[in-house]
Amino acid sequence: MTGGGVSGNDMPSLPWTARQDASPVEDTPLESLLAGNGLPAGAGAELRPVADVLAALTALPAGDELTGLAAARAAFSRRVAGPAQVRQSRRWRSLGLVSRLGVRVGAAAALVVMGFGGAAAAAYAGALPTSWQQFAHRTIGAPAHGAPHDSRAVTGAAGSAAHRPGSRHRAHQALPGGLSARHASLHHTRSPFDAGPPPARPFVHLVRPPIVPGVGRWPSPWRYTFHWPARTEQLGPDASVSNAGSMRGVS
Amino acid sequence: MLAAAQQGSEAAFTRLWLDANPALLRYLRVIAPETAEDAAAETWVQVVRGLRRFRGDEAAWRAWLFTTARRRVIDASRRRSRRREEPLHDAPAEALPVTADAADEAMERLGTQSAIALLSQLPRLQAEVILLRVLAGLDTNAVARLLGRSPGAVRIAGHRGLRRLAEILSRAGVTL
Repeated sequence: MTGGGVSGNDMPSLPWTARQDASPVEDTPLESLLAGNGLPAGAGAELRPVADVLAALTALPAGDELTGLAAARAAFSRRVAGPAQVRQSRRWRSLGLVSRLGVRVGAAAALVVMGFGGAAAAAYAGALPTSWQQFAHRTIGAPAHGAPHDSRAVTGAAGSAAHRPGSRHRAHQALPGGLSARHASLHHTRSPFDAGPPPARPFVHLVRPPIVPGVGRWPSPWRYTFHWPARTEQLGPDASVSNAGSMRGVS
Repeated sequence: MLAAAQQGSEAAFTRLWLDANPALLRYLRVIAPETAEDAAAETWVQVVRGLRRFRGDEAAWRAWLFTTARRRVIDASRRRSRRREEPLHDAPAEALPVTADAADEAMERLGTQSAIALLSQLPRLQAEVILLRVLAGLDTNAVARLLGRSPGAVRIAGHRGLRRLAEILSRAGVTL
């Protein structure tokens, strides 16, 4: 009888040990085999075939294990070697400046360009301080400080505004001498039926005809009104004042 | 060699491939015997794709290579998910199928194919641990990271695998 009230026959003495998976093979030679160090001296004989299996596993490659080399090299040529050449030529062609001088210099250059662009826009809008406006007036032809707003009409703001279909009102306000854009257009514009090229005029090259997909739907006089600057030879004194105003910025 | 391959040297890449592909193929022939060649090819495509971004030493390179191969196998098995495999991790050695062909072949000539055939009889985890440690030359911690197991579990699985391999060989009568 056991202490728990159970008879001895009910508690068979099992021949199990504490560790069911315990093996006569020690861990040290196993770890040596797994580390690739071979079978240590004094290891059990039962591990010798295992060592031979592992040695056979790391034997020299057979022929069928080297058959995929061509495909791998082709993939390498496409992915690594090929793009390297393309990248090199591309670097020399377009990205050389950025790669050599660095991203910071490129960003600084972009900021400078943006700053100059904004300053030029402000100069043409007459929004700069007096000294800066005079400097812009001398250097890039911006209107001088204190010049009437309509003097900028033909050269800059109104000139570009007049080329937008939706800005007729602004063009109307911008033309000098109290001459409305609509009124002026009747006199300024060439008839579409006039023959020959338009005569040479200052700042014609600064104004490009807009790309308007539906331009053909417009009446012809409007097309020419908004695509070309005003012609001065048919306007008389008022129109010459207009162009004189634009020339002031250059002279 | 690895740096040269990353710079685009085809000769260096060839050396890397010749050095690693046999071990990779043997590993794949154990864990994915039906699709080993395809998995190896896909692995190298993946490796080539990410070769420039790889950073690490030789051990890290081997771990990356075998990790990529293992993921290819897992992806392929997921695609063929209709075929469900029973896990053999805890199967006793007596329940493992011991093919007479493999044992006979091992007795006749203990070549690489015979070794692969013998290792294929082990449970997947034990076989993988043995292959990754012996073939890839990875230490216990690297194998544990690769398999997503603890280092202790990896060590035990490796030891059990070798013991089970010794039992299989003794039962097959391979004594040298």
